[in-house]
Amino acid sequence: MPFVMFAVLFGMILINLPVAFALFLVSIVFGFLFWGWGGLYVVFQGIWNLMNNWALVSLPLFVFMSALLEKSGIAEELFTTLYNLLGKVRGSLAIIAVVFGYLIGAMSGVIAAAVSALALIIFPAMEKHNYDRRLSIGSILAAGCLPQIVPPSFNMIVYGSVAGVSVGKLFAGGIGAGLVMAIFFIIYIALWSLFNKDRVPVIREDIPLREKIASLRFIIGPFVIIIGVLGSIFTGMATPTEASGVGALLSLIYVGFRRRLSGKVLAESLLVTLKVTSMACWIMSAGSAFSSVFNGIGGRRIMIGLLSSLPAAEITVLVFSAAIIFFLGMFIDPVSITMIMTPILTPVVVSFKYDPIWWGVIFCSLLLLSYITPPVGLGLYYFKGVAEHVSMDEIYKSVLPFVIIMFLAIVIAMIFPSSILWFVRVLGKV
Amino acid sequence: AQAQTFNFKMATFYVAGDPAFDVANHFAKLVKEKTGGKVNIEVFQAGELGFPVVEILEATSRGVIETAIFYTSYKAAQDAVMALAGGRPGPVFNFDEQVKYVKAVEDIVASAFKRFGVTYIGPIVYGEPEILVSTKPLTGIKDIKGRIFRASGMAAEFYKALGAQAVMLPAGELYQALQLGTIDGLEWTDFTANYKLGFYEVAKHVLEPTKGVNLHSEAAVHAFLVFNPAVWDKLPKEYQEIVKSSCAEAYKWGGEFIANLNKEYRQKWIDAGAKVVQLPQEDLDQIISVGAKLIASYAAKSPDAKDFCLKLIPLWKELGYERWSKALEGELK
Amino acid sequence: MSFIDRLNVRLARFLMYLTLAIVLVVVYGVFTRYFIGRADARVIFVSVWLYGSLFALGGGFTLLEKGHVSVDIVYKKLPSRIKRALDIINLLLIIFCGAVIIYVSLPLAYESFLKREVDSSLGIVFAPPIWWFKWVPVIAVILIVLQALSLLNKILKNKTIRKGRDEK
Ligand code: NA
Ligand code: NA
Repeated sequence: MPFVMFAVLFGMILINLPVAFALFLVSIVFGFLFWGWGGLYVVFQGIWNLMNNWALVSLPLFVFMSALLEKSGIAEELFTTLYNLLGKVRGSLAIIAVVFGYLIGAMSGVIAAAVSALALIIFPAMEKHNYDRRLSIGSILAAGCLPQIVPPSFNMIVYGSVAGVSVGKLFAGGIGAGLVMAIFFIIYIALWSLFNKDRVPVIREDIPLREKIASLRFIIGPFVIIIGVLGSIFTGMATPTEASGVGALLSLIYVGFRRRLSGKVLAESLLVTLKVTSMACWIMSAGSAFSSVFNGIGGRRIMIGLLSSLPAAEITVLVFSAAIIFFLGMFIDPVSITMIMTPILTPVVVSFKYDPIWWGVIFCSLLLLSYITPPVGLGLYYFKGVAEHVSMDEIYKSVLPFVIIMFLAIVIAMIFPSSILWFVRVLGKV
Repeated sequence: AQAQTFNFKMATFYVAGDPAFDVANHFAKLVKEKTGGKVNIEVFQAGELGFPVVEILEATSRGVIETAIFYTSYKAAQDAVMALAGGRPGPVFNFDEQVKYVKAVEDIVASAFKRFGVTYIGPIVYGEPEILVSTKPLTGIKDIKGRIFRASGMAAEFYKALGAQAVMLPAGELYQALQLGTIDGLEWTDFTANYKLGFYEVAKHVLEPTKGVNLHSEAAVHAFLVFNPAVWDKLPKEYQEIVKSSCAEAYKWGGEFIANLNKEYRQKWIDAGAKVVQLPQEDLDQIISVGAKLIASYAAKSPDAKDFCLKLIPLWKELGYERWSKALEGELK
Repeated sequence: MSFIDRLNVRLARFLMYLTLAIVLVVVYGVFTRYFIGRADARVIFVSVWLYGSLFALGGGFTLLEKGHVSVDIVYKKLPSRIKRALDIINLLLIIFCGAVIIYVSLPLAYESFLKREVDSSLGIVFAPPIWWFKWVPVIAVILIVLQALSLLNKILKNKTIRKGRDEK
């Protein structure tokens, strides 16, 4: 039955029904038919759950910070400066997007926050400098997923407590896996840019050194904001969620200090924040309802059945596990997947003498893919919610190469476990 | 006649790695075996069915799920008996003592659950006395003063009364909050649960309870089994009996299981370099007086709550905890 | 602009300031804990309420602004007649979902009010009423349904006008 549920969802999405309501509709219909009144009750609870999610308080704060920097012109100033400074480095803006994605990862685990932040601050700069659209969109989406694997990562905490392994070591593995992915993205961006010179411009003439040094002043402000957010976390002043509030305040102060804080800039930023937060959270509410109905009507039983029907060989288990996480990830939210699948898959994988830390990192990496794979890829929707003028099929096409790169990175980490365990050994001395 | 088959969904507030979740599964297995597969209970993790753990009773009473195991503190502010039936100060130190405590107050707890629209079956998950985990050395109450601890419910009041500050932080932020010093420590059930959340990696000091004087929480019933009343009443008598006896059996099985794990994980904490200390003798009086005051403040909330507290006085005396018994008697006068 | 459109726009113009309030509350919490050493337990509750109200009540406005993301891959390629039919169907589906959610949540919110439900996370130290917060999703979905009705009304009215203007 859950598979029929997926098929109907797919159909509803295709007829252009807003994703949030497609998820609600399928939850209502299937919840009612196969669970009865209880199914309807959990649809309400999906919204209530989201409304009480403390970690997501950081979402409006992050979006506001980004919108403020964008509307006040400070983001454009920053990225144009970086673009000029990096001169002949082809694809520099896309590479910077990846670096920013990694940095945001150290501040937050909320992908909605990372994707909308990057879409707000870097995408306009890429458009301005005539970057290839697909490269721009793809790199932002790939970068926007990194926060879920770069610690702090809520999924890793859930995995750690369910599988009974060290959170610190998982985090160390996450730092590594995130780094490997980021490097893969950067290599791809650099190579693609090299082969498509006409579509990834660089500045024509050399900028004199003095001008370059003078332009550094445009970097200092945003740099201080980033240091402020990271600093407030790593000095123990604030939790990551709280740090986004510190970041929003610092941005307000900086924009005010630069005399760019007009009533218009403030109002526009606040309105964008409202819209993007509302869009993302309504999708997540509906997604939460959908996951509950999936579980309530026997989703987990089917997964266990599928797994036990396979011949218990090492390779089938690994491939099946990867495939199932990937498949569920198309429809179900990652925290639910972690909770349902960790107790089912992890004992089997570990019974083949695989390292549980390594598997945890792989598990969480596979979950990232779910954010950027069609049909239901939350990251894709968040991007569209910010960049309304970009069409959905363009987003799908743009993200494809990055899905492949990410997948390759994961496969390599699967074939060579030491690539992740090295980081665990070096960084994981907790 | 061919007996009908019953398929029940059971909500819990545990995740799969929690030993208490094993107790729930053990219970489901017992019921299934004893009814010859006629009563099947599918156990769900916290939040897996979409509603927050604090809403488990509402979901059960509405029939969204048929049965649940529930920690009463989630309704502490709504009903004083629910607060008292959860983790609370007191001397009860092990499973056998806890069984006696449950007997003493069972009627009052059952009627509290009834007020929330569910049928009380019995205690199902035993909880060991709680520990206080800290990033800074702890030698006694003097070191608690001024520190910032994550604690909730009555624990928050308890540590406040000892001069600490209690903050709320969601589970997902605790590890890093300890690691980076955002908080100084936390109280989160026993050695096992704290270890499984990785806190041993980032906090190396533990204040553990001792017989006669626990810290905030004595050995508490971590979860009670409840049913939707309509579902329960429709269940044939023989199956009702099986559910009740399986609940009692799982409770006993889990009591041993959880106590043993706690010993094992205490050692793991020490192996990981943690310093495990107990309160000095001179602090005991203060713990007892703060604990008794706290309980008495809940007694004032409702006649049922008062009854509950009055039953603790002879119980503690009978168990040999004279000082506790006297202190509470004094407060309730 | 219909009355409902104006209502949602006005509300959004007010709601958007909640973000500023969240900034203040969160920073206040960090500041008092870190610099004064006084942890204020109310901060986490208040910021969650502000965030929850912000996103939920903004749903109607987001619908008006076509902010709820949809996948237009097939839709884009369809003739305008079918597009219009799909628009109508989709609005009806939104209204249906909304109606069901309202039907389910009204009694929940009402019961919560009757109990004067409070939050128990901090015991009786700080037990803020949360029954009012349970009304927020109900009102939010009502706003969405009203907005969908208003949009539906517009499409249906546009029928005759459209024929003339459509083939531009
Ligand atoms: Na992160
Ligand atoms: Na996906």
